[in-house]
Amino acid sequence: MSGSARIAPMSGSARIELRGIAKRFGETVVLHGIDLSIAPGEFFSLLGPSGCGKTTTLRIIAGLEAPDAGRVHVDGRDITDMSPGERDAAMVFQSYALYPHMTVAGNIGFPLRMVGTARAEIERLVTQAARRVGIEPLLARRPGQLSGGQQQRVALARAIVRSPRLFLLDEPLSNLDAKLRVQTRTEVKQLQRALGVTTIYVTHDQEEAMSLSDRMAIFVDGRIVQIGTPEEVFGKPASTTVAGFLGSPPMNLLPARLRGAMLEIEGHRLALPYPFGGEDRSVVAGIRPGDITIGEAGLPATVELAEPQGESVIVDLRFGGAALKARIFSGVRFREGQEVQIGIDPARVHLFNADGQRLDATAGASSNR
Amino acid sequence: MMPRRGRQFVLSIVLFAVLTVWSFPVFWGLVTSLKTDRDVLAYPPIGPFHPILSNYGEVLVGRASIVPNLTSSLIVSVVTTAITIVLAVPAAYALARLRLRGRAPIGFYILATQMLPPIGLVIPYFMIFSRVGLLNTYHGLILIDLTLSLPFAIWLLVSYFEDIPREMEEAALIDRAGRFRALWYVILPQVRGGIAVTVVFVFLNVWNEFLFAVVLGGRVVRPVTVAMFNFISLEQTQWGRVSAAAMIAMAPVLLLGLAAQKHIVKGLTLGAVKGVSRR
Repeated sequence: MSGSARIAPMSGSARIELRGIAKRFGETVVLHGIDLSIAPGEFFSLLGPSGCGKTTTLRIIAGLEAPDAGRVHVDGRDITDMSPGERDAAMVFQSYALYPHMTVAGNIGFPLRMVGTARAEIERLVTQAARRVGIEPLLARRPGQLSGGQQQRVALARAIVRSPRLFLLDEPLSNLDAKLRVQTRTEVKQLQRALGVTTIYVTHDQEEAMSLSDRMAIFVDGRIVQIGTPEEVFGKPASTTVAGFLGSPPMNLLPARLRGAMLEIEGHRLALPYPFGGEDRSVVAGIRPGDITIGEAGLPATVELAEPQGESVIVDLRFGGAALKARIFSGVRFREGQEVQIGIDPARVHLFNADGQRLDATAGASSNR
Repeated sequence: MMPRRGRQFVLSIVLFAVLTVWSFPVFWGLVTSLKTDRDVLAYPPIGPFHPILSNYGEVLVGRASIVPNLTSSLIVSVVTTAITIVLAVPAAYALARLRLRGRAPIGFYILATQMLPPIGLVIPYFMIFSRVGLLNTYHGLILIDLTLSLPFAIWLLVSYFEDIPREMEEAALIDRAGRFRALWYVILPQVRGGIAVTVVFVFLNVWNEFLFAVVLGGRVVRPVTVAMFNFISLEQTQWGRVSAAAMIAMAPVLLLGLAAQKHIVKGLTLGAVKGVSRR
């Protein structure tokens, strides 16, 4: 996308609030009362596995689905019963939904044509939007003559052309190949930053959500299980569900016992650097694969499998009765059955209670983690 | 497995056989229309003959000219086709897209009307029409033809509407088109092929309709299918003239088919290639 074309940041971006949004399709409850508040200009991702309700939430915000309960507010105004066209939102669909019988220019100009913009003005704005996403030479072509990446840009141009106050993006990069996806991701972020428009982005790709979002909501089974910045959600997962979803590979979750500041995992004791209240109890210890080291000294483990990933290697370890995954960056070669010593930094261990909810250390300690 | 060339050869033979069977009556009709009655009735059938055009002259400008009947057919067919399309397009769109309560029973009811044998309807229709004075009127026959063509057209069009990805329409709604303009600007241009196919089939069915036309028509409304029977009497069948009339009667449908050919091919193959996922 060309950075040379400067479009002034759009006039006002929207504050979105969802209050108790519930939706069912037949017998299946898709959303169980979603509450969400998105600040003006924020890049907000809805992240979760397939069928978790994130796309339904986006479609409710767009007005393409009506909620069974709950209200949608934009800047304090209830828009729940408004038609999609009245909401001043633009949407990019996963399939791009370009109109195949129109040229690229016709596609981009369509929203302007629908509100009776003068022909010359449409032409000017279409050219400007096309230049912005780097598809100006393609204006006379039809969508069928474009590559996937180009079609994606046409869909983006159609979304930005009418300066909406809200962008809704439904897995817009999922049909692109890996390299193009990373490149377009950066461009989408730059575009959003330049335009300053509130953006809601649906994805099942955690890497995408992490790299793009100001904040994100993790959806599981029609509920939001955590809302926060990427750093918060990754660094302090609210539950074992979130911990087990984020990260590649995700966090190792091991049964353990907690006695004050002493943690016992698989018969080994770790002294935690901060005390936890409560009595002797069963907990779940969460250790990120990247927080495990393999070295000269430490706890004994056996290598079961090593999967080189290029810059790092994912090592499957047998640690007592538990299976662990470690991500090692040292470039050392591991062989199956090799006995190794692993290091776990107690300060980087996450703790969850038996119900899977995060346990926080007593005051002052959480900032260390 | 058969080699590619061998398979093509077999396919060509099959295609040629099907085409021969299909085109033989047309060919025979054409040949008969160019023969004198004597040549037609010659036994054993003669090979080479001297072609004449007098049968065409007779059925076009002769005493028993079918031109008024062609006009009659044209009025009934064009008006019926036009009304059918105007009503069937929104109906099919609604059935394909809207979450209507009772959508399935409505759809089945429409299909069920096609299951009734027309011969069972013709007597009740005749009695009703004779009481309300609709016999031998254009609007009467058009009304009846509509009851036959509309269900067919709706069902044909529903499948074309269903092939358009829902997201296309949702994008138009978000682009502030509203339901009607989304249909007009985004959906209809994409089902053009389906509409062309429907126009041709409806026109063909109405143009060739005989049963209702012969019972409910009369001196004023007498389509060409009925008029052709003027050349068949108890004493004699004027095969040359019947054939000439049939050849002329085929022309409008043939022309329509040729004009819509490009769209028809597109329309017929549309369902075969589904590139975009459907919700």
